[in-house]
Amino acid sequence: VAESRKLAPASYVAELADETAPLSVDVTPLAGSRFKIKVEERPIEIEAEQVGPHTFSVRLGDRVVELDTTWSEGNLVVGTAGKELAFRLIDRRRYRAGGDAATGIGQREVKAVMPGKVVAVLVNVGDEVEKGQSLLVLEAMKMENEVRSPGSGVVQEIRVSPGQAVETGELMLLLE
Amino acid sequence: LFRRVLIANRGEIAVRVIRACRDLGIETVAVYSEADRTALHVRLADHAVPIGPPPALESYLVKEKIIEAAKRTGAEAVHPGYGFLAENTDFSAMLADAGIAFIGPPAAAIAAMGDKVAARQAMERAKVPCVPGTFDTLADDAEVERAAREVGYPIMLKASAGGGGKGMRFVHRPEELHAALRGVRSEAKSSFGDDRLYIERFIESPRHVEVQVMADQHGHVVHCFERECTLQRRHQKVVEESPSPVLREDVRLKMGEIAVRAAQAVGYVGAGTIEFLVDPKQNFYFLEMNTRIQVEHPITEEVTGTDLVRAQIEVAAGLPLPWEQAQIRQRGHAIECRVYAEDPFNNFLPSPGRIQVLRTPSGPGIRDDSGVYEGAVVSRFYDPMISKLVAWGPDRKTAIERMRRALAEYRVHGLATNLAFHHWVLDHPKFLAGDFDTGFIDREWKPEAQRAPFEGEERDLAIAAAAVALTEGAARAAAPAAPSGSAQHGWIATARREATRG
Repeated sequence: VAESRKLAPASYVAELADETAPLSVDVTPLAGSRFKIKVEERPIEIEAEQVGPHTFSVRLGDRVVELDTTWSEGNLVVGTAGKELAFRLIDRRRYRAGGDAATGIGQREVKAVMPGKVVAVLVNVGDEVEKGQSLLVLEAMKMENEVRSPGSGVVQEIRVSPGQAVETGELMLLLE
Repeated sequence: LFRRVLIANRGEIAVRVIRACRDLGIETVAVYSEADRTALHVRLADHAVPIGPPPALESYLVKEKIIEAAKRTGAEAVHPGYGFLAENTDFSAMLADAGIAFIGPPAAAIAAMGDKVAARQAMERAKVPCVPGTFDTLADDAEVERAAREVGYPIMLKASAGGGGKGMRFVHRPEELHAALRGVRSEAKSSFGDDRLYIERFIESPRHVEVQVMADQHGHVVHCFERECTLQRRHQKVVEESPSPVLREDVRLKMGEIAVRAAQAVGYVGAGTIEFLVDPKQNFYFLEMNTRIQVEHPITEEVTGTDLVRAQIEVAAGLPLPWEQAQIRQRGHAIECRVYAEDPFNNFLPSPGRIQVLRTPSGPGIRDDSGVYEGAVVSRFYDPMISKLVAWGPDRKTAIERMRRALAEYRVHGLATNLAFHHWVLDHPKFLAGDFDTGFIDREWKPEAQRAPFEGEERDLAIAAAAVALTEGAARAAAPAAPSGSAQHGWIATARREATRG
């Protein structure tokens, strides 16, 4: 997987579920599976190998830990034996001060970001929806994922129905 | 032996029975509710029959549906597991009418032990020491009042049809009696349809020790020694061990003999458990008998080298017990932790949902009796047990060390578990010293003080790992040639969604 891959540096804002102040997170890919990461002003260098669908074996210096990454209610949950840390990780370009994750381009189109099956449509045409409100439930990789609204608006058109299979990039819903 | 056995249960115990049947070359029939089509017990069975909607009252507890399933599949015997219909005399009578064997005790023995007042009478006749108290049903409130005074406060007020921690109240002073009386009566009436009561003297700082017995149809009864089940939360056992870390050898032997006598007194056949209360001076008193296989049976199996579920099936088929009393010895030490989908930091609230990550421990001395798999759903309709983790070692210290290692290897994510709670118990100085009573957990567990969050460098590391995962996921999502579906890991697929949504 890793042979000719070139990752671009990325910057995020981490909002911890336990409500401490947001943290800045900068990722600089190095050679192989190594990364330089700055959490606030604290730099660390890690080697992260994916060893399972949700699992990374992470080396920090000579120390190695196994971390599991899952999603729960819109949060990213990183866990190890007997404990978990839940937070949101937002692309800094889409993050505005005040903790509001701004909407990106194409906010009016809700597209499938992975192949899957529509399990439920939670809104109707004409409904006023808020940013973050659940619009659809999409089953993919054996997991049910809620597809949330990218912004507030009115549902203009629904192009899918429960039971329907969708491909990556397929337009599912239009917002006005 | 039987050719085909139906298992009238679900979860880990159904899986345990299927495994015993397979060892014996017996075909298995699972039954399942609409919530359980993809449950592990259905996946492992040879045959499977749907028996109705998710609520147990409409499926696993409907005797007619289970008997119909047994007839339809030609099952010659039914194993009830624990809970559900395991101690239901109507069910065993209906099976008998249908010519199907019940893998459990005779209906008369279940009935004799199910009625706690009748059981106390039978035990007293058999010279089994009972908790001091009343031995007859108390007719009215006046009689309860008088009896409570005679027994002496504080007392336990209990429903005759109760058991397993249900239908009982602690009454400290006479002023509290009337409220407790109303509570127990209404609870007993609604739960058991029977509001008869009895009184036991309250035993101070009690330990809860039980003895495993096993009997065949030819009059042989043996015991497989004791299990220490003192660590309870609201009368529900959470950590058990065998042998008891404190019982004196003479008490242990006497308790075994008396347990055998108790089983003989009711004509017992199959696996059963005699529960005793033990006071600080190691006087012990009969509490109740559970006329079924117990949740915590694996620790006895590990220490005595027996297979209790297999023996249950054999004696139900009329075979003699596979062991003599003299052959049964305690070797080493075993501990069980009940791993539940519940949140110890939020009042042990059940946490049903999909198990997104599951990695179970293994290695020397470790046994994991599980009813789930990665991707399985812990249903809100049933007991949220994930598995019973058992550690065996040549001595208690080694068993504890192995259990700690296993708990550290055990990974469950996607829902809350009580793994952190078990870590706490296994590290507690009083647990290590064997110095605890039934009130230990309620007294000592302080969730806020015991929460171990990610801190400092560890927290940065967790955030860093997530950031890497997200960066990689986004890169793959952007790659035009990325194959859809098959080669994509679940996490990456979700990361793509997160990275690309607004």
